[in-house]
Amino acid sequence: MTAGKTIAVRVEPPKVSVSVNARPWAEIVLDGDSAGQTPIANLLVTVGPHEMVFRHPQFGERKQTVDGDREGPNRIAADLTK
Amino acid sequence: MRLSSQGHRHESGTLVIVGIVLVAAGSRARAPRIRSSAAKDLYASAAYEDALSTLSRTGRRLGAPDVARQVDEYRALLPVCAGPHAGSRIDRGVDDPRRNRWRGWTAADASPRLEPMFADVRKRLLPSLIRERFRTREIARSIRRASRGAEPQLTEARLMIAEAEELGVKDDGLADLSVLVDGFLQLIRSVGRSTASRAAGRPPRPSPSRAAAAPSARPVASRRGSRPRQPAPRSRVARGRRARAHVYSVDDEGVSPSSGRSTSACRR
Repeated sequence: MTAGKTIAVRVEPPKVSVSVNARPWAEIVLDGDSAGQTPIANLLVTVGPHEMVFRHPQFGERKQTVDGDREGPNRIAADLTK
Repeated sequence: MRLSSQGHRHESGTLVIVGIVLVAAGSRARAPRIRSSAAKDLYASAAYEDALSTLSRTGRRLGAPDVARQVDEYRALLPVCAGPHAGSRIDRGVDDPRRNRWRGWTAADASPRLEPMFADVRKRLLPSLIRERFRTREIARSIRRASRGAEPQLTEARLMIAEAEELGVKDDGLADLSVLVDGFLQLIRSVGRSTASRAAGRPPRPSPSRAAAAPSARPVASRRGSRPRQPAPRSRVARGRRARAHVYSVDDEGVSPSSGRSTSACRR
């Protein structure tokens, strides 16, 4: 390596585990990608803010910003009936 | 006067003790309902491990049937949420004899993906669960004595067979077992009817179920892995029953095994 030369190093942000649930249930979309139907446990997300959408065929959808915290536990719940 | 005051104190003490016992009994009876409700709240807030540990503290005393059903449902559901190796944990949840009340998914807050998951497990386990239900000592004893003691288990086995048929379980032995369960149910019900008629002072009324049970009224298999048997000697028949039907087993005098189709189902 030459002195003064810069190289790009890709740093993967740490991931944390998130548990998600909804009442009655919901299809979860995390940052635009489907994450499956609730209940979901140990969904790995990077530390920091994410956009989570709860979708239900009858109760519509609800957006929520979630913040993956390294200290945990990360639990996100939504009541779509309210 | 002194004696009377002592007697009063004694009565008050007894009342206090009775009160404490009643309160303790009431709180013990309420405990499963409270824990079930707490577990439900924890589940709703996505705290799955906490909900599971709350339910595990509920123990075997499950209280009212609706609470027991809910506890069973959540016990089966939570391992699915709680992480990897869920498959084997669902098996255990559905396989546990106490979980046999659980048929199909009824929890209102379960997503559609759970229903087929549990149905698959149930489909896989039902044949062995039905056979376990059928091979209990109580059923064998009840059939041998032609008493109605085994009716709840046989009815449950009947319902499980119907569920297996509905789920499309592929098991050749189930058809034979279904015939056996129906025959035994008809037999013990007809015996119950004739006993009731006798008690009421009326001659037993012939019924279609009795006629239908006639082929099964010959000696039938009753013990685990039981062997077929032949009719008992005449003297025993005359001695052993008046108006009451008697089903013979290998334990009975003069009964020896022979071959037969219906009994082969018991062995499975």
